[in-house]
Amino acid sequence: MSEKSDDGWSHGRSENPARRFSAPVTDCSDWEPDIPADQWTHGRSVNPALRYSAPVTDCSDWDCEPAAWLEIRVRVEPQTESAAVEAVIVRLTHAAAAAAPELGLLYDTSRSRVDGRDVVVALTPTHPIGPADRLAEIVRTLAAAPHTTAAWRHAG
Amino acid sequence: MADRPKPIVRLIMIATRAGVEPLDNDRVLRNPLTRIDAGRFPWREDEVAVYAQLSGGLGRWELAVEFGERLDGGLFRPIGPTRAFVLDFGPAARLAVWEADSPFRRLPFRREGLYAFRMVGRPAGDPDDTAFEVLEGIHPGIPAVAELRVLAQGGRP
Repeated sequence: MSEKSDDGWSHGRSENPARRFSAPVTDCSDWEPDIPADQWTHGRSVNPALRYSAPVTDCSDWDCEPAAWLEIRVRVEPQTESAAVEAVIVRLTHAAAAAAPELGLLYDTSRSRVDGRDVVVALTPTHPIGPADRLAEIVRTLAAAPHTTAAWRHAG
Repeated sequence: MADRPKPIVRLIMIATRAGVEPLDNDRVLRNPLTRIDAGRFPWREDEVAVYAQLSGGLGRWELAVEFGERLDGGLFRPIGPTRAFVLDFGPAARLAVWEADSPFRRLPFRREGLYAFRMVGRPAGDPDDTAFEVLEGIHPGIPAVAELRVLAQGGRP
């Protein structure tokens, strides 16, 4: 049984496809026969484990398209060596993460790209993005670096 | 036939009971166990069940659950196997998943220590003297075991 949600995901409770086998009870009364039967005690012990039941984690917003992501565009001169470009990317990624730790920005491999002479570093928030003025402030901080622009892109 | 892909034990767990919930036909483990506090040794636990999930095998396999005591130096002292049973994993796809539960009555623990269940198997139809091999878990080369620590009641926290 599955249903379609408005967000494009189907959901439902899938059937466990495993085949099943239930063995008959194994009576172990004659195991360890070197100890005479009258020496054994038996019973059902109490499970001594400590118990914790986590609350339900609602995963409805997991693995969804982010509402917005940050793109940092850096102009790279043709003679710049690739190692230097990589260093810039790493520095920018760290700078962005430090500038907005509350967003949990992660390097987005699918959106990061080379665009002409520009390297575009895309960073996806893993936490809610918060108010617009805060987003603008982050952009201003990052765009202060030379040859760099930054902008938020929105899905849809 | 001995080279036929063996089933892999994807999951093996110990509980007081394992069975099917009649209401929705779900498999249910009642009271999963990793430790037993025994009343007095030698002790027999009235009710224990082992649940295992196997996949990746090819063809028919004769399987059993083996119970034993883990000794110092990594040694395993077998105490008893269940009666063997045969599961058919199919001819080709290797995607068949089997759930098997094995209930035990009066399972013996002669002293405090670490005990374990493991799955053993051999290709069905092989000669009777073909040895059962311990089946691996999801990590190649490492047997899948479900351990049970057994202590004297009130002996330790």
